[in-house]
This record gives sequence, C-alpha cells and structure tokens, in this order.
Amino acid sequence: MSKKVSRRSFLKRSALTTAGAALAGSGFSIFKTANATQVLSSYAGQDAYDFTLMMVDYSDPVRKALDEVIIPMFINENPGSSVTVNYSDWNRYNEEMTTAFAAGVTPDVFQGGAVWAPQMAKRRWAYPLNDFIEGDTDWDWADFPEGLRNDVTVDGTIVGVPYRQDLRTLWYREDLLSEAGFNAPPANWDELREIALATTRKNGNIFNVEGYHLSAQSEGWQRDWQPYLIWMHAAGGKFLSDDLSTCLLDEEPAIEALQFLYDLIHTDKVTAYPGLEPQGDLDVIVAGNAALQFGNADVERTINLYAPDTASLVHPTLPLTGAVQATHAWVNKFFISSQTKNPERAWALMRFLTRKDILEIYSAANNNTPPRLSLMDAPYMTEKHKTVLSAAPYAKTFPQHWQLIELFRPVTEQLELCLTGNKTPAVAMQDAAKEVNKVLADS
Amino acid sequence: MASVTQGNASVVKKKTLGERWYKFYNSDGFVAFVFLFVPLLLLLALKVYPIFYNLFLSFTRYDLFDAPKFVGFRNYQYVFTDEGTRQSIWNTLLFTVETVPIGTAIALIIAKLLDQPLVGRLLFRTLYYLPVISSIVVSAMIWRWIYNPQYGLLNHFFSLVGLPMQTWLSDPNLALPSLVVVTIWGSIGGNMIIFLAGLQDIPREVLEAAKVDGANASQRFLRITVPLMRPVILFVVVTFIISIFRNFGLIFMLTQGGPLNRTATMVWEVYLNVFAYLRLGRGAAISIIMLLIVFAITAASFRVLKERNA
Repeated sequence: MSKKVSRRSFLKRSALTTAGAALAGSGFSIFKTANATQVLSSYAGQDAYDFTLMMVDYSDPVRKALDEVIIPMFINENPGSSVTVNYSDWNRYNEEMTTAFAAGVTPDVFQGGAVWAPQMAKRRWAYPLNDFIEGDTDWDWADFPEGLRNDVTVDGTIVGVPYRQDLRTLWYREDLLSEAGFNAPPANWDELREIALATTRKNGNIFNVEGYHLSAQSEGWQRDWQPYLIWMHAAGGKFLSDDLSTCLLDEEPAIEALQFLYDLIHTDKVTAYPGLEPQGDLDVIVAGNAALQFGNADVERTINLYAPDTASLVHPTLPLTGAVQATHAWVNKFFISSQTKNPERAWALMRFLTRKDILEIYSAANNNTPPRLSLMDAPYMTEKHKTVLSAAPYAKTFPQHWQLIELFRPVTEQLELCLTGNKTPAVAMQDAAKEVNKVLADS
Repeated sequence: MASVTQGNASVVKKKTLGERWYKFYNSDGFVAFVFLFVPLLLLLALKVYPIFYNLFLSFTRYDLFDAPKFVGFRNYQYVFTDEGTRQSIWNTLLFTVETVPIGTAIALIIAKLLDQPLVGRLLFRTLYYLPVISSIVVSAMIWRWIYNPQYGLLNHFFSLVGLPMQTWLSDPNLALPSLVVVTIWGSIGGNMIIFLAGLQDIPREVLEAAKVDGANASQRFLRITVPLMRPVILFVVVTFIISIFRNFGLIFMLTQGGPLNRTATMVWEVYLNVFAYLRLGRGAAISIIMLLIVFAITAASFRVLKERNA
C-alpha cells in the first residue's frame, strides 16, 4: 500500500535534501582539497607534476610559441606532467597576485615586473633560489649580467630569475632628422633640444610632429615618471638614498632634469603635454608623429608587425649624456611562489623557462632584449636590437624598496602638476620628496 | 507545557528534548528554518560578516599577511587630513551632483517621449537600452576612441564646425565632465525602463481630464506626471547615487584617477589603498566614510521626495 506524501512532508524532505546537498557540497570541496594534496605529495620528487604558470609579459607570437613549442618541449622532457598557463595582464596583475597569495592559490611559477623583487622578498612571497642556483652549474647563473643578478638579489637572497631586460634608449626618425638637416642623432641634451626644435611641426597650436615625444595620456599613470627617470639618471640624480631612508628628488640633479623637460614643453614647445597619442599599438615615432622618443626593443616589434615600411627610417641610438650618460632598465623576472607545493619541481619549470635555448625562443617571439649574455649574438638579434643592448652598461635599475608603487604615486602627481605648468620644477620636486618621505617614515 | 493535576498538587511535566524536537520538526517553522538556513548562512558569511569585518579593519593597520594591528582612529584621521583622499571625496560628490540630476531628467524625458504612440518606439527603446547590456570595458574602449584628442570622433566633429580641438580625458577641467557624459549615456536605458513602467501606472483618465481642462503638454508633464512619479523618481535617484559611488570600471579604464587627480573618486582611493598599497585599514576607513555619505544622501533624498509626495 502506497503511503500518501503530504505537502508538508514533501516540503520538509525537499528542504532537508537541499540543506544536506549544500552541506555535502561544501564538505566535498574539503575532501577534494585533501585528495589533491595527497596526489601532489605522491608526486613530490618525481618527474610528473601538474604545474601552474602565470604569464603577464606576452604578445600573440609569444603565446603561440609557448602553446606550440615551449610547453610541449617541457612536457616532452617531463613525461606525465602538465602545465596550466594563466595568461593575465599587467593591468590586473597587482590585484590578482595579492588575492592569490592571500587565498593561498598562487601559481607555482609566475612573471613579475621591475618593481616586484623587493616586495616579494619583504612579504616572503618568493621562494629563495640560492640553493637551486648555486648547485646548478649547467644552467649558468653567471651568464646573466651582474646588474640583473643584483636586481633580483635582496639582502643576499635570490628571489627571481630575469627573463627580460627592458632597456630604454633614444629612438630617432631618420627621415625627419634628415629633412631638418641633421645626419646624426643627438648625443647629449643640447643636441636633443636643437634637433627637437628643428623637427617640430605645428599647425597653429596643434602638433603634427613632436620634436621630442615625452608621453601620452593613454600610457597610464606612470607615463611621465618612466621617461623622467631616464632624464634624472642622466642628470646624475637618484630617487632614494642608498639606505632607502630618504627621497633625493629635491636635490639639484633631479630638479634640473625636470626643468629640462618643463622647458621642452613650455619654452621650446617641442612636445605637447599630454603628448600625441600612439595609433593603437603603433608608437608615436613609428607613426611619424615624433622625431625623437625613448623606447625599448618593443618599438622594433611594432615596426615589424604593423609598419614594416618604416624599418629603414626608425632607429635606436645610445642613451643621451647629461651630467653622465645614463638610462633606466626595467628588469622583468620569473618568481617561484613560496606557496608552491613542490619547490623542486617549480624550479624545474623555472630552470627550463630561463634556459638559454628557451629564452631565445621566448625573446625572439616577444622581440625582447634577452637577459643572458650568451644570447647577445643570437640569430634573432638585429642591428637595432644590438644597439638597444649596447645601452646596458649605462642602465640603472630601481632602488630595492618594497613599497615602490606607493612611492611612485606622489611623484607622478607632482610631475603632472609641474608639467601642466601648475608648479615650478623646484617646488614640485620638493613636494614630491616630502610626500615620499612621509610614506618612507610610515613603512 | 503540559500539566497533570493530582488532588491539590499541580505537577508540571516538562517535555523531553525529543518531544520538543518532534513538535518543531512537524511545524511549519521547521520547514521555513531549513529553507532559510542556507540563504541566511550565505547572507551572514558574504554580507553581514564582511561589513563588520570591514568596520573592524578600519581601526587597524593590516596588509593581508601580518596580523591586523589596532591603530584607533588613525585611518579616519588620514582620510580627513590627506589631501588626495579629501579631493577624492570632493570629486565623488561633484560626480554625483553633475550626473544624477541631469541623468535622471534625461531618462525621464526620454521615457515620456517613448511612452507616446510613436512609430518605431520599440526600436528606440531598444537602442537606448543597448548601453546597459554592453560590457563596461567595451563601452570604455569605445569612448576612449571617441575622446581621443587626435583621431577621436568628437574632435573630428568639432573641427568640422570650426570649434577648437580638446584633450578631453587629459584636460583637468574636462576629464570629470567627460566621465559624466559616459555615465549618463550608460545609465539612460536602465532608468528609462523603470520610468516607463512608472508612467504606465499613471491613470490615463487623470491626464485626459487635465487635457479637457485646458492643460498643455508641459503642464500635464510637470504638474501631473512628475508628482505622480515621485516614488519612482526616488527609487531611480537613490539607486543612481549608489551606482555613482560604486563607479570604478569607467575610471579604471579611462582616466585612472587623473589628470591631476580630478577623477580620483573614493572608490578609486579604496582600490589604490587596498590593492596597490596593501593598506587595507585605510581602504576600509574610506569605504566606511563612503557608506555614511551614501546613507546621508539617500536619507536626504527620501526626505525631500517623500515630504513633497505626502
């Protein structure tokens, strides 16, 4: 005899089933985690491993090279392993990594920008690499230039391995210089001013060609700070004192550099502020809207991809000489997460990615300046590349303070205030130093 | 509670736990409890707890990795003494004042127009609603090109009529108004739909009676439609204000707080402090202040619009 189910019983059973399922669902994830950990532990020390890798610094050709060449090669060398690549973006890097570390779900190996090594070290996010590197003579740490090695070494601990040196040097437009009667690029500040004045073309107040292109609004909040750094180094200035306790932007060289930029905008009027916009990915100089501009090897990539007809017109030259000949280098690197389940296997992946043959594939695809000395004459290194690379001896890197992003913010604000004509260079730099010192005191 | 009388003595027999459970199990309350348990748990875990935890964090110095350190009202002191944060409060209020009245008025007027028996009104309703279903990122990219100082559509039109070209998002005086335009453009559709629903609730007889009495179109709109729509206007204004305070995507995509911090709003400051600087205490304090300001403005809106409605 079938028992009739009342509405109340039905609702009650449904509710209990729903609640039970919800609780079981939450419990299931716990069991799943436990199982996953168990599986990972069983792989420890063995070849097979499910690697996770986060890439931020890539272009379409790099992604193709990774998916079709680099990762398959790695799996071939590590049978049974898998590599899950998360392709991210610099714009969301900070949030993504912060929340990933807070939640304990970081990739085994990940890329990081120029300012990240000190922060990684301070927060103990990066797994120390000294033991791996010192015991691995085949991989050859000495093949990386000393400046790059120092950049990833914080208080004696190696926290990352460079995969790219982003060297900025001066690029010039040969046709525009030639039309203005110059057959060689500038070598110092005075020559730059002279050439910029001669090559600037305006229609009333509207720039058609900037003699020197400083920055464009769409280049983000560090748009003035990044080129300013180069001028500041060339003026003999420094951002922070050696002990990282004091901001030195209120000293004469830093003010002199800003004064020079201020004059280019307001007195010489050789550049708009904010400057002309790039045409999509095409730099202002490649588009023919500037005669001189600082840039890295990416300029050549955009030429090759979008404007090959300008290849014979746009060239790099050595950094300018102010008080000294200097430029700035952004060193990008791979890190191993301190949360990785298996540092040895993570090192296997990082070692592979920074091996000479793999870095060559990556750097060629991304048109990067390679970080290994042995790749300086690699087949993909064009004459332009070699010129950019020859800026390396003059390059300075960031001071190793763990709060660089926060320190940059007041400086960018003061630079903007000055370059828009709202403050004199001296006052802007004094205010910048004051604000930076406030942050330093609160560290 | 059951009682058993034995002579003069009244013996109270307590129900056992099992009996109580059986009674509760067979009541409607049990069914309701079980159904509500999971949603309530989620509400507590994902809404109530974060609000109170945020309040707690606002009195601490916390970077996600070391334990929060109590600092009293230092974060609040920072909010009111730091020039950048104070400017963000001002920018947010300015953004709200410039956006909400104009955006609401435009949406109401368009809704009124599209409430008429016009040819193609469905098409127009769809067109006005399209920005609402567009991704904020896509919208921002489109507007970035429209505002591009050299190649942008807007400057192209300006040049056609002989007006000077502008730098829009790079101009400290034009950046916020430029964002206001984009925000209004993006909000018209959603608000228009709400207004259309409200307009359809207005009794036609009232409007027809006014027409018979000689009221012209603008008189009918201002003296009948608008007063009868006050509850709907109140709803739109309040939700619009809240959306302006939460507006992060456009600022992130178009201006990143610049130029000269003119578009740095409170939510942008929260983002910077929490994600860029890992100063969660400061970010929490700014968000608490933001919450209080939204409360105050909402209460004021209620007061103004409800009083007139009464």
